[in-house]
Amino acid sequence: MKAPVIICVDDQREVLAALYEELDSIKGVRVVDCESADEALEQIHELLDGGEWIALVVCDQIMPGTKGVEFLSYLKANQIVPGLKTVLLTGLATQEDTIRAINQARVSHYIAKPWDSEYLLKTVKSLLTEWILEAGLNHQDYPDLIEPDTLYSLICGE
Amino acid sequence: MFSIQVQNQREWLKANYFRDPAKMLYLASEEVLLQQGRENRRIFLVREGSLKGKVKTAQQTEYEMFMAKPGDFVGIPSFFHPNHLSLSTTVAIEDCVLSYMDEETPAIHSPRGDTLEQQFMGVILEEWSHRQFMIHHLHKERESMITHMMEVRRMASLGELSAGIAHELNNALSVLSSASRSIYQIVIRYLKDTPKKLRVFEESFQSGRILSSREMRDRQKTLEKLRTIDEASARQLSRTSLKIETIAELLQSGLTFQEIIDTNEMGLRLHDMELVSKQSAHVVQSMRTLGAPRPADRSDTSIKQVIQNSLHLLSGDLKDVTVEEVYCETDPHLMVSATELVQVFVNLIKNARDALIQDRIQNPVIMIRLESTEETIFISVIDNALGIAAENLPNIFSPSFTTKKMGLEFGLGLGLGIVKKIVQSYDGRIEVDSSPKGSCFKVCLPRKKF
Repeated sequence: MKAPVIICVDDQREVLAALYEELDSIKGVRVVDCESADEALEQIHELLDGGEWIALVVCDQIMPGTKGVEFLSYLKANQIVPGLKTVLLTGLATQEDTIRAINQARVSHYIAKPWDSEYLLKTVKSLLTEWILEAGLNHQDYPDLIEPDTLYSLICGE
Repeated sequence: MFSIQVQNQREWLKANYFRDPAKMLYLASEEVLLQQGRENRRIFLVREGSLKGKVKTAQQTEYEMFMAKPGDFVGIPSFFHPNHLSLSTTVAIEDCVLSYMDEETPAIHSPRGDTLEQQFMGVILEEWSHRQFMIHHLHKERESMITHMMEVRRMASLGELSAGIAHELNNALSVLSSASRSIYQIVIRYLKDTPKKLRVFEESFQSGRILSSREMRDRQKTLEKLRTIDEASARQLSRTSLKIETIAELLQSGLTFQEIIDTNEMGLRLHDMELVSKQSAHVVQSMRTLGAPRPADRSDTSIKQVIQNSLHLLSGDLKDVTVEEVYCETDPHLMVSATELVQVFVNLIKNARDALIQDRIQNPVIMIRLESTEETIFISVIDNALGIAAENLPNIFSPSFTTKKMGLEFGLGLGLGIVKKIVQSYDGRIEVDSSPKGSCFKVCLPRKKF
């Protein structure tokens, strides 16, 4: 099975490393960490060219250069990665940022720093579950990525 | 035009109605001429001295309504009002000489009209507009006083709040930093029989996260080429802070991938814990300085050392900026608190750095210059960003002013307020010079003998 890719972006190295380790604990995904939005975009193009499946971007809001919401809005508006799930992870966002995160970037989920490890993993798995089903993949091939409640509601809800 | 006419009329009134030597009055300082609410049937002309009119409101607050100086009339409203009641209490501020007229004073024929009301009309109107102006002025004064008081109160409650938060956070931070210290020492003990692991641990703990995400990906590619390593291990090994040669050496000496990775990760994680507790302590310290100023411990301190410490604290933030340090040949010392002074430079350098990033400067440079004369030590922080907007320049030192929209600790606009406060506590000053080619903040600290 090809492992879906999660891209995490944070300018502070220590935070990025912590985030990476959290996400890397999920078996069956590949995590790519980037220190800026520009670097992330470069990686996204490289991964897409290599035929990889990018499922999720987890992005910090406050970074030098391109901000999280700007970056996620760009990805959304240009449909760089079809079906992509996004999480905005932030210690502080202004009201304006939050409005744009919802209206323009259409983030799938919003998580406040400091994050709760269990909640972060549950959220990420829930989004991965949605992504797997939307991509038309067989969820039984990805047992480690499935969040049971989400799977249940998606299958029984429809 | 109006006022000239009134002026003429005033002179005419004075000359015609206030020349009876029998109708003169002498008041000592603080003597009351008219009592608010009491009857008055006279118009007074102040000849010497001055008086003030005070009004007491229903809420018992008293305010000043007018001042009367030589040449002014007093008592006009109550004289002409049908109930003849005084609107204010009029008191002599100093010894006064007054002339007066009363209802017995006969009206004299004038082209303006034959009644007193007609003749006094201009003066009445002028008097009224004077009072109105006075009230307006008082109102403005009170308004600005309230604004000022609210600002003071706001700062006081911010101070209390930050002192409270600082206390709580400091407790938590002490636990965090002593815990990480203690784990560090325990790990060292555990590893003392395995010197290779000890070396990996110590090295990673000291170095911290020196590799960028990009560098780690490059390393992964290099490691993958080694063939003896599978992809997953190559990826994990690439993330360690160890040199590739060191990794090869350690593998040869019998350590497993997992041992290297885990030991390294342990060192890095502890490093992170120490680093962030230091950073948080710094943020807490800044809040506290603003809140409750406490005399810091002053000792003989090398200013050059303080600058270098500040740069060290910010090394993570300054990785994309060229820092030029210019020191004078002497190594000037001052009796200061190093902690406080570090805050000054950290704030100034951080501001410079933020400006460089905000303005997206291609070759960002921060120059730090230390100069010294017999009387004063000068420390300048100079950047090549686009400068401070002229309209912002007067406000940069006031608390809660910020141009930074993002970030928590750095967006409160506390930075330069703290800087100014600290520098002033050493009888120093800050000079700011800003143009579109860059800004220079020059801290001037006097050399004092204690």
